[in-house]
Amino acid sequence: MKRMVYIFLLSLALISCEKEITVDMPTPENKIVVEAAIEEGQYAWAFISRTAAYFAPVDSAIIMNMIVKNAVVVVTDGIENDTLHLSLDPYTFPYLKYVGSKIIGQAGKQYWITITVDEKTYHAKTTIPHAVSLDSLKFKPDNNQDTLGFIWLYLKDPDTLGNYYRAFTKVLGKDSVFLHPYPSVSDDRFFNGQKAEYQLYRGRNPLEDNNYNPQGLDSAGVARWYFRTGETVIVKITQIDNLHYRFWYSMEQQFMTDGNPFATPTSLKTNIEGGAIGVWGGYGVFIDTLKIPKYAKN
Amino acid sequence: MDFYKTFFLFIFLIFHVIGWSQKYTISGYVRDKKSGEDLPSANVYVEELKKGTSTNNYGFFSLTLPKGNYTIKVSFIGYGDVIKKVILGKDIKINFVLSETVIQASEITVTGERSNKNVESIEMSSYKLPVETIKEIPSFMGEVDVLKSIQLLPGVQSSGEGNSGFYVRGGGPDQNLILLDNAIVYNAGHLFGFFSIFNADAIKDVNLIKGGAPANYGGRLSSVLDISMKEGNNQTYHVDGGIGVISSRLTVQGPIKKDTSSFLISGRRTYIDVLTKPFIKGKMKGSGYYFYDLNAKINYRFSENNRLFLSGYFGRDVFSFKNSEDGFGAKFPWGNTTLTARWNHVFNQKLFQNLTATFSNYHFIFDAEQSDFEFKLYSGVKDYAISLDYTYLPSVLHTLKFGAQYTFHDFEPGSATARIGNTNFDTGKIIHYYANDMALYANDEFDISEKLKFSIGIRPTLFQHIGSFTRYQLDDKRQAKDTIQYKPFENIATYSNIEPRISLRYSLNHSTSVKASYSQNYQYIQLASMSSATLPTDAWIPCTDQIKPQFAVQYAGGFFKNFKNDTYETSVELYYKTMKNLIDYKEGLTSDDNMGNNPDNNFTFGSGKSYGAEFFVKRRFGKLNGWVGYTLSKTTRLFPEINNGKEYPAKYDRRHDLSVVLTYDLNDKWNFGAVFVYATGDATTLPISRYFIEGRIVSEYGERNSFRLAPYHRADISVNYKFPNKGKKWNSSINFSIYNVYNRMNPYFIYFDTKTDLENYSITTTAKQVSLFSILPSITYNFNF
Repeated sequence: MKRMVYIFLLSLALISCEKEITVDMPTPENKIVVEAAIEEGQYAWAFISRTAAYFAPVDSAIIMNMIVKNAVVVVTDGIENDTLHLSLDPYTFPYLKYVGSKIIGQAGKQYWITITVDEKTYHAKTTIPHAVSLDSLKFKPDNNQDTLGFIWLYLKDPDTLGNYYRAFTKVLGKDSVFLHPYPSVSDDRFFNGQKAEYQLYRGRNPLEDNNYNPQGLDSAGVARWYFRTGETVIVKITQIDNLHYRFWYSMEQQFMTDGNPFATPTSLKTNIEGGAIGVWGGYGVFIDTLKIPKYAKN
Repeated sequence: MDFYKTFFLFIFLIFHVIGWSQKYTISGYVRDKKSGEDLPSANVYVEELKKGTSTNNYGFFSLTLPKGNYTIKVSFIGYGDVIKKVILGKDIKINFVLSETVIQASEITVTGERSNKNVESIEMSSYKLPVETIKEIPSFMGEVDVLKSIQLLPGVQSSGEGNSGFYVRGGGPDQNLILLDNAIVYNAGHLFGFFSIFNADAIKDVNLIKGGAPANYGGRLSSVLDISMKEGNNQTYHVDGGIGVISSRLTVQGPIKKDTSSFLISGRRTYIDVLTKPFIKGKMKGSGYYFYDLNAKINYRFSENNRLFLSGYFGRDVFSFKNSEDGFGAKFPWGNTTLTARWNHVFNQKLFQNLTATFSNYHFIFDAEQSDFEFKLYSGVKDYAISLDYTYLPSVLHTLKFGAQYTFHDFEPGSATARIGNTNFDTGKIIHYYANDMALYANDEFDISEKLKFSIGIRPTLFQHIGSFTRYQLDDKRQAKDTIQYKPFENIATYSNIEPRISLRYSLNHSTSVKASYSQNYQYIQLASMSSATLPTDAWIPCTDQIKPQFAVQYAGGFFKNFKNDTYETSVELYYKTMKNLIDYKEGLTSDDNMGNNPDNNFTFGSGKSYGAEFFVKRRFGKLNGWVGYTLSKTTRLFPEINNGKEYPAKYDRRHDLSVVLTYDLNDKWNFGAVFVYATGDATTLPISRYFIEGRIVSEYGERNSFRLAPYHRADISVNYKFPNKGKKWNSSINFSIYNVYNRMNPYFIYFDTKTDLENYSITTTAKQVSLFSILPSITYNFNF
């Protein structure tokens, strides 16, 4: 579908013209944005920020203002409460992160979050589904390449419909955080109960954008998507619940249709109630490590 | 079955009311002298009774009058009157042959040419566009276009450049019933709608009805565009043609047996592909576009009472794109095919019968290949239909039409196949939607008094979705949990509805009348569009157990007045329309939501409202002709699952719409034309704010359609020069036209270009507007012999 539109647009480009215009729009009310998660075996964390008007110019001062530093964030599992405290995370934008210290995520449990900013309160609920384990991982070089390629994962989907996956990779010594490819989420509609294989590529870290040119190539001309022979890669395959999946799916759809004048634009599907937007999601985690040998055999 | 009873009771009443007395019938055909073509809607007027009738679509008329002596006057626009005195003592058959009037340089006012038909007839909310008028309007790239011409009438709006759809009174592009010789046309546009599929050289008549359509029409909520092809000159052979900048056309017609049978073949092809081929080099080699269409018709008159017509249309567009560097190629063929067979039979001068069988096929294919990966998308509709129509004229006071129609639909809204190397993907079964679509109708148009005329019609309809079919049942997480298999012809869903149609005309005097109409319409098939532009990729889908019929009620009222002895026709019409069970896609879906699923599981339903005022002034005589149409209107939608359930402007909402069309005959060599249009800008949904998720910019959108693009306006001019004839058979003229004379960059769409640099904390967004057509001159050479 995207290709069809691309061709149509290209053919239009032959006869059409483009010019810059100013768009007169009313200033919207800013909303609170919550990007929060609790992983199996980890404390909960949250980034709280605000929206900005679409055409408002953004510079460092404005970005700093978008980050909310005075929120009260509480996570509960129904028994215990954990008030998250502000800390610094130098590896993930926007750096100021609320982190838990009491509750550690456990598979099969439900978790609630309450965020209070400027006397308004927002709630959300999520579950940590049981993880699905991988059968194996394999590195396959790309066409015409020896040392560059992608990682294939192999798993067997449980018989019940309604498994939602999100995949992450981290290259030891190179990535300071887990990155995910795009698209990163999948449901099991087409392979329920069956063996599935999926190709992973190294995702994008927005903080590294300046190391690559607009085509994603580094100074040596190598694409940022590749894994290389000799690297050790940690693969984290997670299970998420339905509302959590809907959020990432709608985000990835928005990227797909962004700039496409023929698609109906949609905002992201939040699972936060009370007027804030964003996501509170639980992750059931399975981790496996792949040591890619220096000389790969097919 | 309730509606059968109502229907037959209605017919019985009509026959009863008419009564019996000593009357005789004059009947026959009205034809063009030069070509033998029937003249539909010609006036046949009885001077002494101050009453008359019109010929039907086949040129047939019938008048049942009391015994006596009468003066019959037959007239038709553009032709000289014929007057005959008749002594009526028994049933008579007379045919009238009319000759076209030749317009002289000095103005000739031929009495009888002027007509107050727009005031006198009960028809409102409708226009008959003669093909000659359409040919004089400046055209896009020199291509005379039926669809673009009707968009210049009030109440009809273009859905934008690069689009073949049109909106009538706030309804969507799928709510217009487009007929070519009685066969339904599903997509009336070539390449993304730049040209329509109708070749003006093969067309005889264009009739547009925006509301209050008589009961023989049904199946769409907003309008009827009834187009009929010429029969073919049954007197002499005739060739028409034209050579243009991007396409050429040729029409050949003539008698197979003089006076008895004739044929017409008309073809058209673009050569953009041939012209641009040398410029498409390198990696794009092999890309190109062409379209062709062909109209063919044969008719045979067995006797004065029997006639057979066969006609067909075949059109194809093929768009291919190659990028050998990427290893990518795509082919995109689409097109319509229609076939019609009709048998006219006159029973007893009062009863005219028409039996029609039609076949219609629309399909598109998108075939893309990239190295080892191939993806093919197919969508299409096939219709097989038969209808029996009667016109009964028991007296000069009543015109009764009744009949039955049946269509079998075969829809394939979207099948996809995909392949990587040798592995075929499972994209789900290819699903067909089959349906039975039936209607009966009866309509009587009668005069209650000299001033008051009524038209009452009733149309019971029945629609069935039948198997074979696979229904995917979804759970609350929209996952397919189960499938139901239906056997062939098994009934899945049935809908039956009755559509009443009422209209009236009250004459204040010869040149002034007031009209009103009320109609209910049901629509059983709809266009599911993923996008906000009508692309050929939109899929037609029928009512199913998940989709109920769309329903509309329209009230219209109008005031009609002619000035200066029918030189100026003016009208004001007001309308109010409510619509229910409109469909749209649920928010946030993409094309893979259709795989392993029924497309209609992805729809959401709502209602709409539309109202407006249409103003029209037309001048038909003299050197300067033309019209001004202005529409002030509003149309909104209310869908519980869209825009958080708040009412929002429909995509088709255009507050103001103005069209000015002028043609000027300087002398018999030079003719000038000009068009000016102005319309409120399109409604669109824009992002209003943004925020960060995982360090990436994400948009939050505002209310649906809450933003307006810049207004659309443009002017076109054309000059036509007719070469002197010198008495030879060869006639030729040259037409020079300029589209978008003052080069206005009308918005086609807007998009936003965002540049982010997180490390340096800067984000800049610029809004860009893309326009489609700048100033486009063109030249066409036309000839005939």
